[in-house]
Amino acid sequence: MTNIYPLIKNETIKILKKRSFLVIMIILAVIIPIATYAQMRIAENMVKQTGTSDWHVKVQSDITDARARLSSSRMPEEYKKYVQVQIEVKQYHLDMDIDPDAPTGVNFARRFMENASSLLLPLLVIIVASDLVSSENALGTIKLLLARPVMRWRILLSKYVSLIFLVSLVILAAGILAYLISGFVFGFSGWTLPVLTGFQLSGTNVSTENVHTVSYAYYLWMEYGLAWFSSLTIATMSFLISTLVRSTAFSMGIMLASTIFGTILANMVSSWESAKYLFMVNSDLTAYLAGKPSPIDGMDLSFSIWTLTIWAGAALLVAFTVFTRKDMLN
Amino acid sequence: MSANRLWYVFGTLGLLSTIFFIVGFGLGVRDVLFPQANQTELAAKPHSIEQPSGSSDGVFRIVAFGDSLTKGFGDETIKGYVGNVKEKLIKSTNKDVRVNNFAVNGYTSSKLLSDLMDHSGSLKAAEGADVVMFTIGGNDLYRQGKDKIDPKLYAERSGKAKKQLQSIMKIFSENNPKSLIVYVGLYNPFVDKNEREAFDQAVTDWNADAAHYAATLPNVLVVNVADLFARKTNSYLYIDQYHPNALGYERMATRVAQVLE
Amino acid sequence: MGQSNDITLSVRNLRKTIGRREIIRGVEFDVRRGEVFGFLGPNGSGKTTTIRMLVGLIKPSSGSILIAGHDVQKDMVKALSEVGCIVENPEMYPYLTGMENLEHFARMLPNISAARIQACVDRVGLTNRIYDLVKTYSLGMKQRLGIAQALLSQPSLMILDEPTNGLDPQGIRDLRDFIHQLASEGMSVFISSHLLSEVQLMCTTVAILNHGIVIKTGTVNELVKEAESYVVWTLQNVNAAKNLLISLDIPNAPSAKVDDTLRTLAIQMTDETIPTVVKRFVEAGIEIIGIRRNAATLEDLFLELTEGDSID
Repeated sequence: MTNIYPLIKNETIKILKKRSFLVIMIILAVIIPIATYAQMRIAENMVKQTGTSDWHVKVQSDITDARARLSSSRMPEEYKKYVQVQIEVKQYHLDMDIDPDAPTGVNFARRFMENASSLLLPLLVIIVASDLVSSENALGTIKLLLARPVMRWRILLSKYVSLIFLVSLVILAAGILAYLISGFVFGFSGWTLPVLTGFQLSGTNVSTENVHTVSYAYYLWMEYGLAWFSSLTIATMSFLISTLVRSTAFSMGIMLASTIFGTILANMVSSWESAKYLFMVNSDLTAYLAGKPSPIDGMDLSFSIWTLTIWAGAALLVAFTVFTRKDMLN
Repeated sequence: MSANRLWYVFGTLGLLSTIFFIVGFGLGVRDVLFPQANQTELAAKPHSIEQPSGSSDGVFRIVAFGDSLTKGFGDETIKGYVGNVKEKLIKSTNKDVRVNNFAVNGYTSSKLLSDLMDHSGSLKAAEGADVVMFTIGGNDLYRQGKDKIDPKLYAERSGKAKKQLQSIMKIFSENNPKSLIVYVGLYNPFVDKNEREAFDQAVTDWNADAAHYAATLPNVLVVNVADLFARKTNSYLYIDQYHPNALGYERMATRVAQVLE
Repeated sequence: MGQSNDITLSVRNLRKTIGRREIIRGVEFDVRRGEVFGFLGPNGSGKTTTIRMLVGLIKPSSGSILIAGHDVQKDMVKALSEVGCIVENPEMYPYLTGMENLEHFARMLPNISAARIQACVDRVGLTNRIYDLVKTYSLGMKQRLGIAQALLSQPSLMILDEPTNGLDPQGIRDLRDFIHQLASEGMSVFISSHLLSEVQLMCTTVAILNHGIVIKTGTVNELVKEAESYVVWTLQNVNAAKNLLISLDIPNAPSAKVDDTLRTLAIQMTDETIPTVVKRFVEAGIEIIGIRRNAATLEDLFLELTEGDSID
């Protein structure tokens, strides 16, 4: 009986040799310099407007702007809450004299993941995950693959393990590229600078009771770990769809649509409370670490992790059940 | 790369990064769910990358605090007196003038004071500025649309507010010893004879007190604008008959700019 | 079963229902060691479904498939270890080289050495192109790569589904030689085809499938002989003649085929009965215009059996 190691090796080689992995790397290599440039322009504009590169001024300006926006009566209540929390968090940074956005490559890597974890990263992961099984269907190679003296669940498991590897590689690559590319502009230092975490939110109240500092290095470790988990659940969902439908385009379409829909939903329907049980609304785990308010009341980190875990677990269960029983008819 | 090499490199990397991220995930969950304050450490650490603070060469930096007057409420050109001052200074001095306007509509002296006392960040932001300008007090004495005209009420309120204005001046003065601190005084916006007379005393008294205290500080000036609005008041006011309009701000700015030049 | 050592593939009462339609209705056959077994049937007769059940791609509704004594359902790993196969087109990963494809499939089998892979490559004559990407291969090369892949595990049963599809005449001849060579080494080869001429040349035993059931099994020689044993009579009155034959209790008379326009009557008949029948026809006043032994091949038998279902 063959063990699972050579099977994982097979699947990993196939993913890497396919174009999709390269495509992801290219997308990252294009997006990150653009984001770096945008960041650089923002910083330059800031200096131009305020006449100083002192971060205190920028943060104070942000707070003032936010306060001005708060006083506008046309602002929706939900967004007001969000702004309120932002003001509190920024104010606390000022009070503690900690720059919330140290101009370094490390901070860029942190902000990049904060923004990428809700949409960009899931999209990249979907590119790989959604053709994992369906491409074998489309090529017809599934017939050879399953006519081997290997139990089907082993084949699917090996595909899933290599998918986990790949999700990790994509996130690792995103982090390294974000750091290196932006580092050329913003500098490579700053790993030991402090980041404030532990803001606890209840409604518009921000409790700073448990706020503490961690180093950027440690913060990135946690942030990327959280992003990894949510990406993995998205990947698992795509993996399921990929075993259910024959066409890669179709399975990619389903996943892209639901993920993008989820992001829109998260921004829109904070009043529709049941939406919090959708996996795509829960996919931005890094927001909890950054002390951002959740899109819908009643969501917190453990809720989101449980929701994601249940969705992913169910997806795996269905994927394995279907795949091991399915008749390969065409 | 050959398939085998590909596997050894990326398989190992994939496995290691997976373990790495699993641990990171665990740490992240712990940090969010069970945060542990370490505020004693907070003060001790180096907090930010050293930056050249203050103005760079050839840049004239203005930092503005206060209420709707500094914000420029009522000015159709959105410049307010601060923006007008900036323009005038650029014209007259040829310097690169930059403004950080931290004013908030509706601010009172107690709010501004608590900002400055509780949150040193506001003061940090003012550090290195060439000029600190501010307006405050209007909202202490009279709440637009809410109050009746009543001289007794003004007198009653002004006592505490005056103290707070003094504290604000002192804080600015000490925090920015090298900057020029400019306080722009109050004016009387009321056109109606009864109202005008009722408020006049409070404004005059307020401005005089401010000037009096400022004289005890080395770098604080009070610019009086009350006389600018004494005649033809209506033509310098916004439709709310309270805040200045573009022309009103322009006239205020002329006076402030003369002080700065 | 005393002879089971000799039987590589044994299919018993195989059935498959998809939706509400039973598309395989009790297929049975045996493939012996060293035999080249042709699995014939028109399109839609259930060949592909049967083959997919043989290699575990489709689960039978009932019935058993034993490969070298192992049940495909119950002992899938052991059973399929004995099988090399190409199901339909020889599909490989186009983004891998030929060698990477072989290594890929070798990893799914226990203990395949690099030397073994190389031996398979040499055997199918792909040595020069094996390090090229499969997407640059011609169909014939893909076919060879597919066979190399099927040979990796040194299987006792080789299953080839429509192996001559898309091959040029030279390719078909090479394939035929190759299959004979495999069989002479003791490997059983199971070939499905709708092309009779191919099967006739390649196979020793044939099973004919129609509407999900095996309607005829036998060696090629037997079947051809059976096909030849038809006698075609050209007569003045074919219907009267058929009735006469039935009333005379001539064997096979009820199944005699009558063609009114051509005025022919085809019937399976031994040489010995012909003079008797001639005599009877003459006695009954049925004029005989011609008698001929059908010189047809397996194809006629096939057409006969499948009742003119399309073959191409």
